[in-house]
Order: sequence, then C-alpha cells, then structure tokens
Amino acid sequence: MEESCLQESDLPKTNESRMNKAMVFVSLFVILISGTSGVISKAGGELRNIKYKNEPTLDFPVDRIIDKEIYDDVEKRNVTLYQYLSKDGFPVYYSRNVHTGVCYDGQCRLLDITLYWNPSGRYLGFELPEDEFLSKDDHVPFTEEEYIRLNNLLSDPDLPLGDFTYNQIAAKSKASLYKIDGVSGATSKDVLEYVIKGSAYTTYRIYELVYGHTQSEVEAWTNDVMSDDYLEDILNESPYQDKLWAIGLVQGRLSEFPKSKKMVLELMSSEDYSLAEKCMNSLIPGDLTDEDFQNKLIKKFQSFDFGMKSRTIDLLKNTPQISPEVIAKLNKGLMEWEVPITSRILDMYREKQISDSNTIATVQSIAESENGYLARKAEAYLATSRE
Amino acid sequence: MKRRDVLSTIGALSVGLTGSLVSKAEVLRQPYHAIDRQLETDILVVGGGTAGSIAAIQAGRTGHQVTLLECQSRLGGTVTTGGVAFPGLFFAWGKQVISGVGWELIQNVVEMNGDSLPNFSVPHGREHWKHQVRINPYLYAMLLEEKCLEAGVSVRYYETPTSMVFRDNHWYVETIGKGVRAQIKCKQIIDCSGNAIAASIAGYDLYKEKNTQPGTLMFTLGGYDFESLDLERLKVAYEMAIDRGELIRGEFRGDIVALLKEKGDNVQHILGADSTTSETHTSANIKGRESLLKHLRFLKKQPGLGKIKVVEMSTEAGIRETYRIDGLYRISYEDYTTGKTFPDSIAYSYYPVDLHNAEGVVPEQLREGIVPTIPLRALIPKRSQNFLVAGRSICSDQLANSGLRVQASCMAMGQAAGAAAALAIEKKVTPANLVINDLKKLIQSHGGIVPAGIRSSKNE
Repeated sequence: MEESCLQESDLPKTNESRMNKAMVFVSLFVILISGTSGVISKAGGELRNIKYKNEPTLDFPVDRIIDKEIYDDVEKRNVTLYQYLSKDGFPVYYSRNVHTGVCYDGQCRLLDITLYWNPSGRYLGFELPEDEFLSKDDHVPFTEEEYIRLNNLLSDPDLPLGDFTYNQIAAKSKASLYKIDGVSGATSKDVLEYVIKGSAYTTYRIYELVYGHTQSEVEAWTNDVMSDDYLEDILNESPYQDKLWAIGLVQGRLSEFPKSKKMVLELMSSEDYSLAEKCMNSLIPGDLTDEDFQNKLIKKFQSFDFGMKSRTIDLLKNTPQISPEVIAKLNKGLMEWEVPITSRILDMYREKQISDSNTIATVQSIAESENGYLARKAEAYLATSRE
Repeated sequence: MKRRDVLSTIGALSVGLTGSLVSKAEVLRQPYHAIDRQLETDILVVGGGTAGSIAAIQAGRTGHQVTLLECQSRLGGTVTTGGVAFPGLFFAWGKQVISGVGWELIQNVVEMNGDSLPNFSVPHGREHWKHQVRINPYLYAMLLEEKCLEAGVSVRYYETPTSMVFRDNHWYVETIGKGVRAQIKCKQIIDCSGNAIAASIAGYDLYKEKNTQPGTLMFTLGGYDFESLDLERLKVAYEMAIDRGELIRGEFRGDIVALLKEKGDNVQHILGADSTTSETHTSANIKGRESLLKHLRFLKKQPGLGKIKVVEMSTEAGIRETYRIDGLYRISYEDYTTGKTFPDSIAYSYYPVDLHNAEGVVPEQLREGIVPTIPLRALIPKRSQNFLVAGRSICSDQLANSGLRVQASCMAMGQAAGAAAALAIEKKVTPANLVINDLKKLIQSHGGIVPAGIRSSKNE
C-alpha cells in the first residue's frame, strides 16, 4: 500500500471551488502511485492542507460532482456524501466531511476531517481543513510518522481495531477511577497496537467512520450506476481488492454485463486462488444457458483444480441444456478426472438423461472399472438410459 | 419380586383374563434382549468425527466395503457435536494445501448455505482465524451422512468397539450399541476415535501428557448490549467473586470481558477434559455445563446483564487432547515448525502451534513459507498389522500435536488413511509396506493434495 502526504504547493485553498479541489486531488495520484512520498505540511512556518491518499480504484479525471444526503450511524445525523464522476459518468471516488466530537473522560474535542472512499468502498484517504491538524491527548500535534501510521491503520479493513468496541477502549480511561490494575481483558497494550499512541479515541472514531454506514452507502451508490463498461474498466485496471469486490458485487447478475462476463471467464484461470474462486462463484446456472459460454468454460475445465471442477459440474447440473461440445469434452476425460468428479458427471448424465451413443459407450467402459464405486455409478446411469 | 417380573406377570394375567379385549399395541412384551449381528466388511472405521467420516467416504469411493462406527447420533465430531464449526486451515501462504473430500464438503456447505469463503490470498498474519471457514454445522452433518451413504458406507450410530483380535490376516471386532451386539470381521481398521480407543483395545501402546490441553463447551450468549456495560465495574465484581471462591479464574481464562464480547464463543476452558471413556466424557460435559451455569448466575446479578441467556449450546464439550499412539514415527515440534518433508509425507497440515493451558493460549505462528507435513508412519502404531490411526491421536509430541490436531489437518489425514487402507487391501500388504508414490497417486486421484516427494530409494 502506497501512501503519502500531498505536496503543499499542489493543494487548493479552502475557498476554492470543490470542483478545482477534486481535479487537483485526482491529478496528484499520478505522483503518488509512481512512488513519490513525503510530508510537506508547512510552508513558511504555517500549517496548510494535510492530505493522505492511497491507490485509487480508477485513475480517471473528475468531470463533475453530485451529492446526496445519507444518515450516518456514527454521528447519528444526516450528512452529505459527494460522488465524483468521470466524463463517462463513472464514479471515481467519494467523500464526506466529518465534524464530530470525540468525547472521553468527560471532555470533547472537535474532529474536523474529510474522508475519501474508492467506488468499491475501500478507504482512499483523508484530508484536514487548511491549517488544521490532529493532536493527541496532551495537545501535541501528530508527527509526520503518526499521520503515515494513521493512514496505514485506516487502510486496513481487517484491523483488529474494528473488533474492539468503544466500551472496551473507554474502559481503559476509567480504570484509574476504580483504582484497579492488572485486570485482564482487552489490555491497553492490545489497543495500542492499532491506534496512534495518545490518540486512541480519535483513531478509533475515524476508523469507525471509515468502515461504518457511509462505506455501505458508497458501495450501494456505485452499484446503482454499475454498467458493463464501468465494470470492464474495474476488472481491467483496478487494484486486486477492488477486482474482488466488483466480482462479488455482480454475483448472479453477470448476464447483465456481457463484456465483463467474458473477462470473468478469463480471470478464472488466474493463479490467485481467491480471484479465480470468486469468478467461478459469481456464476449461476442461468449464466450457462449461453452455449458459447458453456463451451468456453469447459475448455478451461482441465486446468481447474478439484474444487473448481466440482463447482463447474454443479453449475452444469442445474443448467437447462448442456451443449453437445461440453458432453464430448467431459466424455473424453471421463476416465481421467478425479474419481469424485467422474462420479458427479455420471450422476449429472443420469439426472439430465444424457443418452447419446458416445456417452453410453464411454460410460459402459467405466461400468467395467475395478473401482466398484464408479462401476455402480455407471450401472445406475446405464440402467436409466435403457429405460 | 423384581419390578420387571411383576410387569411380566401382570402382562400374562392381562392377556389371560381379557383375551381379545386387549389390542396388540397394549400387550406387554418381554424386555428386549440385545440382538447379535455377524457382519463382514473390508474396512472398519472407528469414529465418525472430523477424520473418520472423511476416511470412510474416501475408502468407500475406492469401491471397498466400509463400515463406520460412531458412538454419537450424527457425524462430524468436533465440527458438529462439539460445536466448533469453523474448520481450518486449508490454505497456507496463498496456496491451497488441503483439498479432497473435506474441501468438497466445505464448498458444498458454503454454497448451499449461501455463505462465502474468506479471501485466502490475503495473508492472515497473526489472525489465523480469518482463514477458518465458518460453516453451518447442521448442514455439514447432513451432507457428511449423505456422502457416506452415497459412497456405500454402512453407518452404525450409537456403537462402540469392546474387543479386537487380529488373526488369519483379519480383524475380529466386537462392538456394543443400543440393543445390538455386533461381531465384525474386517481386513483393515482405521481408528479415528480421537482418543486412540481402538488402538488401545487392539493392544497397542498409547501415551498421554500429564497435563493435557483443556476442553471447551461451545455456547452462545445473548440478551445484553455489550456496548452499554460498565466493563471496569464488571471486572472488579469478577475479581471479587474469584477472591470469594465463587468463580474459578481458569474456567474462562480470567477474562470475563472476552466471555461477554465473544458471546461465549470458544472462550471456556475445562481443565482435564477427556473424552476417552463414557465416564471421563460425562465428567467433562458436567464440568463444562456447571461452569457455564455458575458464570451465568454471577452475570445475571451484574448491571445490564439481568436478561443474559444461553442462546445455543453444543451437545457435548469439545476435547482438544487425550491419548496418542506410539507410532512408527513421532512428529516433533521441530519437524512441525520447520515444515520437514518426509519420504512418506502423505498430507499437509497448517496451523500455528496452539497449546491451550490454564492461562489461555498464545498461538505460535509458523514462519513464512513453512507448511508442516504428516508422514504415513505417524499414523501406524508400532507392531501393528492392518491398522491405521487418523486425527489428533497420531504419533506426535504435545506441541506438534497442538498444531496438527485441527480440523482441516484431520480431514487430510482421514483421507490419506482411507486411501491407505484401501490400497493396502488391493496390494495385500500392511499399510507400513505401501509404496508411497502409489498411495499419493490414489489420494490425488480423489482430489487430495499431497506433499511433493523427496528422493528416497524406497519410493522412487
């Protein structure tokens, strides 16, 4: 994960239009993802705009911005979510401003920050208003390292911090009230691994905001405008985790996205297990009603692992019509597939009453197999085909 | 006069006096006598748990006759009856290391239940549980049973072995079940009892640590809002209850907050829990339930917890460790943590060293790239013939066992044992004399994954 603070000289003034700000935001990604990093938060001794960004889903220029009201369950109020669109109307990223109190030990301090999300809901970055900075409990401002660490912590959707509750973190500050020590539970040490020291509540609150209801709203809004071209761009160009997200999003709906459906088929050959598995599991039997697709899928069958082969047979079993090419291909390898796969194919043939002469001849040879289990399966099929 | 005799007499009198006025359904009958059965099978699998059910399916799919004894009412063992329904780990370092029958079931359950698999390509780091697959245990039990039956396995619930004798190249096994005594003649035995009970009955040496890992009764708590609890006050009350002797710190790892936050999930520790015999297992179950009740009563008195309740609870306490066989090879901690490959490695295992004790557990993650392997010899008791063990009772030291005892590894071992028993029958040898490459090919032909071989004059 790359991260960086943007160059101060590149940052927009706060009174500039949101549009200009967005354009600068996007243009800076080019610098960031090419490896430039560093923090320049001061110019002439004055604090300016502090901003951290990660790798975007799609590096498209922003053409326009639209917004909508959403309810935020962390702040417990309606807030405005901004959607930044490309010239083609594709979501490029989202943002929302946060003005909330972070309260603990009877004291509250204002958290004023803008959070950014990718179209996939993946955390993109944060930005502080001009001349604003984050500080710790002792009012000492964050250091550059602490901003970088904060950005890294926020970038991890699986951070154990997400499993903590506010109650657990708050309990630490109350411990002294009860004059207890050494009582087990989520210890301070445990929490400290996942927060900025001296700023546990602020870190926790921002993390909660990043992975809270707004994230779901972002995903839902992207889903609402999902198109075949946009999906194709994501599958082609986005980082790995966004590809996985997009494939999961269109699970069962691939027939609505014909160009992307072809790409999903290609990605099934990926050496990355989860990517291949997600692609396979995005298919539903209805996607195989297209015979051409069936034929292309079966061409990959030999290269699939045991689990993918099993899933393919399950899909075919629930497809109304299996193409002759698929049956010919399966028959050709019937003696060579893993035993449970051959067994499943035989069950499928029996259930779907596949009874062409080539299939019957192939199965007859299996009926003579030394493996009694397979021979029984073959006999069961042959008995049905004779009916 | 004994009660039964009285009933018999009354029954006779009733029949005599009322004659045809009494319908057939009302006629009292003699107390039943245990039915004797004489059975013959190729492979007898003892224990239908995590390893045994997979061993039986694998053996059945080779076309051999298989009989599976299970002392409980359903298959799946720790996954189902024990309530630990999150098998792992099937993937290591971005690659699948355990597949085959066990993986087929996991895929089926996940798909049928509308769940999804974790992202195995992203490293789990210190949180290995992220790669465990949460499954519906009820569905898993049903699918296991269906696959056993489909593979021709004869399933015998509520039955356990009482004696085993090896003669004329066959095993003669006596079992006892509900109203049934069976004499089973078979060619191969696979002990997947989890306690090496069959190996013990057969006369092979076992060993057990002085301090075994604690067991856990799985349950789910509900009826409270964790966020609204005053955790510090609760911790103080908990410490005071321990000081007064009302609660025992080790029963929930001294962590009352974790008990509430996790809603009970895999937090309890039952020291000395042992499932080897009905008596020891009874004791473990009672201890687990007593402990839960005691803590529930304590929690109900605390602010915000007045309505706390048990939402669900597993049928029995899950047991982590009991007896292991003295096998042809003992897998050591060093073997495990260095990922040693043996000439007869027939399965992978992947999990941190995970020794639970009275204080809790701090898993020792394996170094990057390390994937331990299981040699066939660790599944074979010394001086045995036609006998295999699969699951947590294989020959291993306690630390290695704390890692390889987990469900995915047990599934892989079960599949390997099922294949080995079948191949041994076909080749007419005892499993120790199998050609390892033949065994590996058989496992692979059933979808299993086997470790790459190392050069060995015997097996090349």
